[in-house]
Amino acid sequence: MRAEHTPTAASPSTPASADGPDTFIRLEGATVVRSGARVLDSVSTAIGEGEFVAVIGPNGSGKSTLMRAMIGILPLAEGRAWIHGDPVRHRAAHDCIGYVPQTSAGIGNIAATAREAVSAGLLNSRSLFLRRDRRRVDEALDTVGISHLADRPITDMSGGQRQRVMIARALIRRPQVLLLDEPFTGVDASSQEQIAELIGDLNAGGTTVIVVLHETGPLRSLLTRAILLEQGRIVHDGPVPDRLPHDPADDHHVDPIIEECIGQEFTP
Amino acid sequence: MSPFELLSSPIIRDPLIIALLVGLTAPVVGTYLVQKRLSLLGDGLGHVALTGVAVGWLVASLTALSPDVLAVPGALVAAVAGAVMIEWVRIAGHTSRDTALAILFYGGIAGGVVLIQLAGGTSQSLMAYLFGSLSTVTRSDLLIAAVLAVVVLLIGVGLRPLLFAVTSDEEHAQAIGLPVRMVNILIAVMAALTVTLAMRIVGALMVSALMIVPVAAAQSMVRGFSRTMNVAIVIGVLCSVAGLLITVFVDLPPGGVIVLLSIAVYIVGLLASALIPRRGVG
Repeated sequence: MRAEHTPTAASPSTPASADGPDTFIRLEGATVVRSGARVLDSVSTAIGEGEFVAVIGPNGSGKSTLMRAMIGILPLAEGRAWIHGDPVRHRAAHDCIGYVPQTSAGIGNIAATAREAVSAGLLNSRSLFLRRDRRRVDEALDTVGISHLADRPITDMSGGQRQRVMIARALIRRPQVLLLDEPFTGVDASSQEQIAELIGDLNAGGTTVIVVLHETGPLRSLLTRAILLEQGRIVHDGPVPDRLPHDPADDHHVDPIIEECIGQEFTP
Repeated sequence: MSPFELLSSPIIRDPLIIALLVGLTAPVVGTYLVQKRLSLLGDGLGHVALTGVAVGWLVASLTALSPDVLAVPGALVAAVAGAVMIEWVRIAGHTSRDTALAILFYGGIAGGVVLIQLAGGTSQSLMAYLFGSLSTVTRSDLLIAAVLAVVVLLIGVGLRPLLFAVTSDEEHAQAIGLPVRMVNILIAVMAALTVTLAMRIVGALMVSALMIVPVAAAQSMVRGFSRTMNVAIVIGVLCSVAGLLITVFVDLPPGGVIVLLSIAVYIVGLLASALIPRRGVG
């Protein structure tokens, strides 16, 4: 059953409503500095159990940076981050996380098979010596509909097939929080629909989903909350606005939507 | 002396055992370096090991020991220190990794020739360490090589799932809480240990080739990470042992012969993969 969430619109850069024991991800004043520039600027937010949150914004707005800051991939210059109440630097806190990076990542120089790639998801902070569990790997591949490709090198796969492998690697962890960074990049329309349905089913089963998107695409109807970013700052954190950017070629499209959300003229 | 008697004499047997250990370990470490796109790390560490050899000579000359006694331990310490340093530079983000490797290259070779002169030797004294030699292998070299090989194989094969997860996708490994920094240091240190154990036979200048070329050859023959590593080990062992046996009967430098054999296998693999279409899997 899908967890109900009634998000409230938050002022830019103020904590969202989701907090307390069921909060999975929390950021307070999170700032990431790269080459002297604040690519994420004093961001505060909290994401609770069962939510389906989209992080949306134009290119360079800090969407992926925000996701990476949430799970400790990028160090914070200022502010703090927690996963399920534990500071993000505690490795054990990451055991509840499933992460799907952008398609271009996660391959390496030697072509691993789908089964090998998915096996990497079996490891966690307490099981560094874990042997392969073929049954669980095959189950995960079956869940994403590519069990017949188990022994195929992922470099020989289409964008959609490769993305399913990365999702299977996240699912094998039985995550409480699933984070996906632009899951539809390089994925054909038919596969997008299937992946969206799969993610929707997971959320309906109680998994919290956070997804970085350039366009909402087939996930539009599933979202319970949207975080809009502009120049490293949150300009909206709450209900999904009626209008969201759909055209990846038109980054300026997001500006009138931000204006609609914040109720004043927006100047990037 | 019959070939059998020749092979059972310590003069040949000890280098042969080291060659076998090098053939086993170098491709294991090399697989992780290739996966991380760090193929030149072994080269950089080989050069740093030369400085360690020279430091060993210098210390030995100051303490009235035989010059070679501290050469391999010196190389071991220098290579491990270089490995940790390059990983630190990478983490700190002060310098790009290829620049750091280049500094390691030049600093290593420069330190080697300067310090060996201070120790009373000449750059000729480094030749056996640069290109490998059968005649200079001692019983202590064999013992050090055996211990290092066991350590590298225990880590490289025993922790394969963890090392694969980190080298394949560092970002994902960080996200799921794996000890990424520790694993990266571990791999760099394994490379340093392999450089040290291989230096006597293959030579510091060519040790990296034995880490990388068998892996490249295996990549042209099979798909999949584990299969690539396993085939690379077989190629590494065959080329090391065969190359060393050739130099027993023909007066040639073992390092060069072993590396040329590996490259020959790589070319055969490339030609075979071009002529025989790979069967689709799955």
